[in-house]
Amino acid sequence: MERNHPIRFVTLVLFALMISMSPGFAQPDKAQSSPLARYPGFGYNPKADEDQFEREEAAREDRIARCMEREGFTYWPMRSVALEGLESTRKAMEVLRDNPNDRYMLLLSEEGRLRYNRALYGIDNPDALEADRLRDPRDPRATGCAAEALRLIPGVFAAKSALTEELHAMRQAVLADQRVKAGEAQWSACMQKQGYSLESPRALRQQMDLQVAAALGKPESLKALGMEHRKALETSTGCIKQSSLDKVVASTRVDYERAFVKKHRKFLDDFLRTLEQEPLDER
Amino acid sequence: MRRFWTAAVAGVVLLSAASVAGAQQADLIYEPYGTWNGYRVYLSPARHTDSGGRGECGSLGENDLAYYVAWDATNGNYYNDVYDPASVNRNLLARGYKVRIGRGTLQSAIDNSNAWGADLHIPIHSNADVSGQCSRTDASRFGTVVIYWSTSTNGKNLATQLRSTVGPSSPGTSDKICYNPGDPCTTITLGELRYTNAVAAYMETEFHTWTTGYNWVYNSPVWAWRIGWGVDAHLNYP
Repeated sequence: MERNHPIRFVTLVLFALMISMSPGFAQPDKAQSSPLARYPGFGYNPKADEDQFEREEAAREDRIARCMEREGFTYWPMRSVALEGLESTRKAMEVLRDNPNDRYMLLLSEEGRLRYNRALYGIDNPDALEADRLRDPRDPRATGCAAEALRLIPGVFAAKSALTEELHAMRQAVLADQRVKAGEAQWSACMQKQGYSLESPRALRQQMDLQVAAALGKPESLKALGMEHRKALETSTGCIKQSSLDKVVASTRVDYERAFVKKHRKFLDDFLRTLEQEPLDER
Repeated sequence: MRRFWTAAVAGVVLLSAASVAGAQQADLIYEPYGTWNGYRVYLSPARHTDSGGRGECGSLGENDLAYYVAWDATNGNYYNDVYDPASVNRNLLARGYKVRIGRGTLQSAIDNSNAWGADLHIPIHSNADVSGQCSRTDASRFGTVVIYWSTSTNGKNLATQLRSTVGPSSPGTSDKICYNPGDPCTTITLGELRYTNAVAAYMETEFHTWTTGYNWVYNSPVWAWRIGWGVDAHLNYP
């Protein structure tokens, strides 16, 4: 495979356009005015959130290792592996090649593995499908080193996780808001002048998926589609700028987030206090 | 034919994962190629202790197949760390999602999904009915089944979208969604639907107990992009 193949370049440009055309991708211009930005884990400071997540995971795993040692077992801390960019596949292979916990468990008897699972997970079989054979993460009385570590260090995404359904509903409400609809109507009018009949950038991406699915198995059609989609996305990007759609979405979002925070303020403030008390540096 | 990198990565993983049930293993977290769209997707491949002995009509067990699917849904058409110039299919990373693939136990998948703040949690499996009848050809007996938690409206919507995007590609024609617990399509209460905070949909991509179905699941580079399509459709193309 040639590294500088022109079609690859086109594809990369296409991909970059797809990402940049989405009105939802941008942080709001009024980010600082959104009260949700004050609470970690909600996407306003992704780098800081990820850094904290890494520290928390490391602390949790260290605690688990010490706890397992007290239970008479050896446990090697396992941390998730972040993969990005050109080295991702190679890095994944290197990381996955070696798993000391796996080797350790192989040395245990059947009875030993059972005791190991009870010590680590608080249950006999951590791969059971049935809910009643697994540990309920919300159970404050759950036993096992992993449950104990999670109770002490719930983590930077704990509030976001607990409010997932409400957050989803809020995000969908933003997209359905009349201000966003009006912005999309302007985008649509702009696109109409260029020969496209579409309601929103989302409709464009939906149409692209449908067209790709219909063209599968027809290489020439797919190639032509790639070019058509690139042109449509370029046009869309221009119309998003012209209609200020991304700014409309962002400012609308801030309004909804203000109401979201008002509704959940006590929970969110309690979460902040919990985060401050996480024992991350105890060794 | 599967591409080298998919096979290589999955092979390494499965060599270790297949040896012992219950062993903790590092999850893989993938960053999107471009700007993050604000959503996190946890993919949780099957971890059956009897994988390989579940009537699979080919050399790979269900766990292996499921991991391939998860990997291809995340990275498909992005082999050797270069976006495939021949494809306009978009995987989850190309669509702007952060993706975490569970490599530990099922219990750790639940814990990790919640701790990571996943917006969507998608267990990936293939279905089984009877063993030793791989030559069957009646497509109406097979298909894509997506299961959701009975009280979750969003889970039902996600399941519906995944059935609509993946189902038409799978060779079986009886594509459906069903709720859990209670629907006869599953006799047990599924822990990954009950205990995850994220909106969840449990995928039985196709039956691996007929050769046509097994081969389709095995060739996930061709179709796994449809999982991203279903996710986008559920979230309204964020």
